[in-house]
Amino acid sequence: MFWNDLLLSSAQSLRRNRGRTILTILGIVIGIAAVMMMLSIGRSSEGLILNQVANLGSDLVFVEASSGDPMSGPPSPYIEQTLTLEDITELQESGLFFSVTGVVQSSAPITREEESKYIQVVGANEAYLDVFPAEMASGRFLDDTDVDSYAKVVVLGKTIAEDLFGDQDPVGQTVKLKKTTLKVIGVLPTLGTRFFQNQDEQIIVPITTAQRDIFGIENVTYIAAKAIGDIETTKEETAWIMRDSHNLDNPEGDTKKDDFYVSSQSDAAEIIGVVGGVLTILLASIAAISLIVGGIGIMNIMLVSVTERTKEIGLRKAIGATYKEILQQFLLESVLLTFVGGLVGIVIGVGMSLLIGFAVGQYVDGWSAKVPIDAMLMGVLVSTTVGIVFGLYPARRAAKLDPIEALRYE
Amino acid sequence: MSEPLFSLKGLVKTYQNGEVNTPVLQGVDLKVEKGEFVALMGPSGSGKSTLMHILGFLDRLTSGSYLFSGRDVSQMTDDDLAHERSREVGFVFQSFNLLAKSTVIENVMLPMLYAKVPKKEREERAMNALRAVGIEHRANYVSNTISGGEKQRVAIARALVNSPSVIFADEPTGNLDTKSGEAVLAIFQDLHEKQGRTIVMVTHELEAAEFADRIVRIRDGVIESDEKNLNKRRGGYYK
Repeated sequence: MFWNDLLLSSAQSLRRNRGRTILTILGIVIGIAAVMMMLSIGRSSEGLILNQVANLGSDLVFVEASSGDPMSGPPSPYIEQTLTLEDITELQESGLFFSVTGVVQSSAPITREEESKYIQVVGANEAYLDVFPAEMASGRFLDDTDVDSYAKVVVLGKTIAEDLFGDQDPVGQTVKLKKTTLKVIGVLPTLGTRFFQNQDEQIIVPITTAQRDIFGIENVTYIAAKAIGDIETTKEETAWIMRDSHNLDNPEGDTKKDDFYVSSQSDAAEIIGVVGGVLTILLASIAAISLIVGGIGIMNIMLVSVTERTKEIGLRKAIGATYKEILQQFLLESVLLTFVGGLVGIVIGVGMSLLIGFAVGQYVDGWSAKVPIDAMLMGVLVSTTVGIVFGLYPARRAAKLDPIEALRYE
Repeated sequence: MSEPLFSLKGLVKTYQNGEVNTPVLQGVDLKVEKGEFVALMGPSGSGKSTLMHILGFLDRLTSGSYLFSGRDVSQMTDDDLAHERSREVGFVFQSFNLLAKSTVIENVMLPMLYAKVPKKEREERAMNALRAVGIEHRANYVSNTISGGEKQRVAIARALVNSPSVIFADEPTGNLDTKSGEAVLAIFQDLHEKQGRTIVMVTHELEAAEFADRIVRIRDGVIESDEKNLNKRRGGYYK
């Protein structure tokens, strides 16, 4: 039989049972749409995360307190805060870095007149702006005198400055952080989010002031440093300096014995890539289950259709149809069903992805809806395969019918 | 003299149902020449339908020999049989077996699909076949909207359309009233006399069988009598 005749007659028979056809492909439509949406969301969030990581800068080395290598096992519930100001000095003197800043980070309420807000407080030194480059919107940044003298000064993020001072220039005015009165010396420009922290809702105070006067602690949350040479070598060197500084007995350089963890942008990207990949696979497999259910639905309907059309099959065989021709006819019908279902599913899935992207984009900065072309092609391929796999059994049943019995069937 | 169209020798057909063997045909010898109009008569269960199915390549024989135009049918594969059905035979059934939701002309074109007739030829040949049975005015009607007599004419047109060597009719008048039944039989007679078509008709009604030239009676799986029809009835004007 000619393929275009076959296609035409299959399309015709599906059109004649329009209501049933629509109900049948619904399962495939939903399945493919779900897979498309899950893949799109997965890719979009991965893109968002990688974008955030990229904002960290590729030449930065981070040191944080840790009980061993976080990549090598489950995270410890308790991490001893081992980093100190001396570590910062050691790294500054190592000659490995252009600049090194320690960061103390926590949250606290800030007050000006009646206005009060709970915000992120960053304690840093004068090198902070060299590590995370930015121009000042107004005023100046912290300098070494501020840090050395425990100065009661603060640099405000853009949003906080606007919230507390409105149209006024905050520079020279005072705010209260917990119970400490601080003088505003500068305002940062709009910086957006970096590694999921909105920098416009942070304030920066001297690290010394933050430790002694505001939080009453002695440790440093993390150290960020801008490397001069190759990043991997610098990480290695940094670890040895830290072991020396902490007096660790770890001559073989086993990261599991360290009380700190040295990382860079690429490590973060790697971890997040793995997590994102697992998440995407998980979401897509859940969606794929609906495809199997959809396929079983197709098989059911095709079996019903074969039974209903037993007489027709008998007739077709009586007028000369071969086994192969009957098989092709029914297989083509089920593939046509799933193919059309797949196309509709892709359209709906893409539409929903864009809609979700638009909605999420209202709340999350830097979220862009990604419509993966490869996923669309895969959707077509998968739906067609579902048609072949689940159509094969009913089609074989039709093709194997005995013409005489089929003609007698009532 | 050329080969007979059918040549059966000691044809046996046994149905196997689990452990039980049911003999249906028990040694049938039959020759049919090209251009004959034969009626196969017999009560129900006599084996006449089975004989027709075997002759029409729908069923296989158990033993004996069946030569079709000199070719040994028992050696044919399933695909060969399908091929023979497509080229050499046309079937007309008691219950018409038209595709109910397709149009008349689509039904008539269907056999040409399997015979791989080029598209542009199909419509013309289908219209010619419809004209030959006087039903061309119904060409674009959906088949379940026409009458039983008309349906059977469409079925005859469908059987004719590939110009087969033989047309098999299985109780073609069984579902029709007398008038439409006689019209259908008159068409067979016409096809036989004017176009020289070979027709084998299975029936249990004598009135129908009397339209044929030769009447073969079957009983309990064997041929009981095989004689020329001396009381030939003639169909009236059917168009």
